[in-house]
Amino acid sequence: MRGNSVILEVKDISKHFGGLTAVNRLSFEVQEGTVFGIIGPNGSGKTTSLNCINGLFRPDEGRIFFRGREIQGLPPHQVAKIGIGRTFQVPKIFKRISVMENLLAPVLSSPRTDQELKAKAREHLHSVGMLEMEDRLGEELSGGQQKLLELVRILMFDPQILLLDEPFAGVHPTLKTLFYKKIHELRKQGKTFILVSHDLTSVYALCQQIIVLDQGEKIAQGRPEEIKRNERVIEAYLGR
Amino acid sequence: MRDRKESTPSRMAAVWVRCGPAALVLCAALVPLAAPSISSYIFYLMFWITMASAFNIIFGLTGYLPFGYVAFYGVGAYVTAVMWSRLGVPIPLSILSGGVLGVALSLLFAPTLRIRGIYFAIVNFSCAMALRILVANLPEAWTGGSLGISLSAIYNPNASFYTMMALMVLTIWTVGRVSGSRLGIALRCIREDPEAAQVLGVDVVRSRLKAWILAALFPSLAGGVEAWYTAIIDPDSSFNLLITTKTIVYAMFGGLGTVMGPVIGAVSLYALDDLIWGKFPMLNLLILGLLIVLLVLFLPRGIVGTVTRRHASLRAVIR
Repeated sequence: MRGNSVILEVKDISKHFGGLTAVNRLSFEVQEGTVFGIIGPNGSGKTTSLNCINGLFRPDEGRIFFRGREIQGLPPHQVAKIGIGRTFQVPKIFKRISVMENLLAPVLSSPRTDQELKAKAREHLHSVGMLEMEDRLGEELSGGQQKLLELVRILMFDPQILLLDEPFAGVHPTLKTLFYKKIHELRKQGKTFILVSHDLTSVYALCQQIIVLDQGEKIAQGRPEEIKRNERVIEAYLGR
Repeated sequence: MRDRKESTPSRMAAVWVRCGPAALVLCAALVPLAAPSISSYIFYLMFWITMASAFNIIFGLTGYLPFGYVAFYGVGAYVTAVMWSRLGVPIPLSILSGGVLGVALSLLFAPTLRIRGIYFAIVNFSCAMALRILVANLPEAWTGGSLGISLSAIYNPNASFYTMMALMVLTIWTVGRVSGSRLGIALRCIREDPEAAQVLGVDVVRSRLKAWILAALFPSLAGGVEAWYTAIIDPDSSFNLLITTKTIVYAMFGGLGTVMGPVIGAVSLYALDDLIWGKFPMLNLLILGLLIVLLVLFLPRGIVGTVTRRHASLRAVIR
């Protein structure tokens, strides 16, 4: 694992949709090798923030740095190539192609041979207990299996940061445990995570640093124990 | 990126898939020796296989429905005829020029690939119709106006037959190569979800442009070869929307996104179409329309798509 250097820096980014401000002057830094949580009520700008980081949205204002390199405005495929992987709230599995082809999708421009890439894909499938499913179509997997496939799929291109959007939503407890295990294992290998979730128990258990968004603005930042006690956070969630 | 294994139940299918096309091509090669009606039937069968297979690259693999697909065929036919009749270019070079101009046209239309779904289909259809009007209104000295251009001086059914056969084989081979390649995976990802494909590092713009160019090349060449075979072209038949419709239906019936699907679709439906045309000439289009409705309702994945969905072991063999 690398030292605690800043791997991602978000500086004053804003994103508007017509008259709606989805994200307003948001800033935060993510330390390398940590799990960084983003929580907040529905519509608070969590997913929009991820979309700005991975290039699906171009922020209207502000800058984003990955290892010191300015990345806002880069197209998503270039953001992926520099080492930022992303999963979605509703898994974006390619349903009418096989599990193996799903896994090969992120490495199509790799100089490695097809056989090497397939061997790597099988290792990843084995790590989540899905090895026998490589020939199945994406649509033949259960919801939980689709989430797992999406996670191991981004691992194929060996990203340095993984942006996970609601990875625990609608997932069976057994599968959730597998997710925890995988995140711990990857963190030990030096991977950094940005975790967006409504599952506060998981966020508190996994994250070292958390920010809380409400109506596009950051209302709190700190360690899990600090966030749990924060009055503004409690108010935002419970509406008191 | 073909896989290594082939399960026991799929061996028969594998033999058919590998040997069947070669046997068919061999038989077809002898056709010009038979009666002209049989020769004409097989020529048009090969033409439709070429059209449906090439269309499969952009719609079946990539998910873009070009409803003005006939434009490439029309441009290929016209460029071939103009190059030969007005500039005296030998027919093989004229046909190749048609292919080049078809590709150039695809590059001109390429910005429309930014839109998807029904919007792309409508814009593409409009472009084709605009092109038809443009061709019909070009100076008669070049395009022959509404009467078109006659190529009777170079009428050669045998040579054009074998050229179409070569083009058909080349098209199917290309589709097979693309489908099994990394580009094929990229295209299928774009078809399924372009946003997810981008996030995974797939260069969506470049990949779909490659597919679009390939999908334009073959109908442009086919248009030229067909112009040579029939020895006459005019704006109405060269830009007839029915060509797009039949191409779509044949490809869908066999199975979009598969290599064999459009071939099977064209073989079976062209035979049916020919039969209906012979027996009920007035009802031909009505029956075609009904067929499209039934196809969408009961066989949305086509023959090959439905079979491979039900029998997973055949997926590695029938692609």
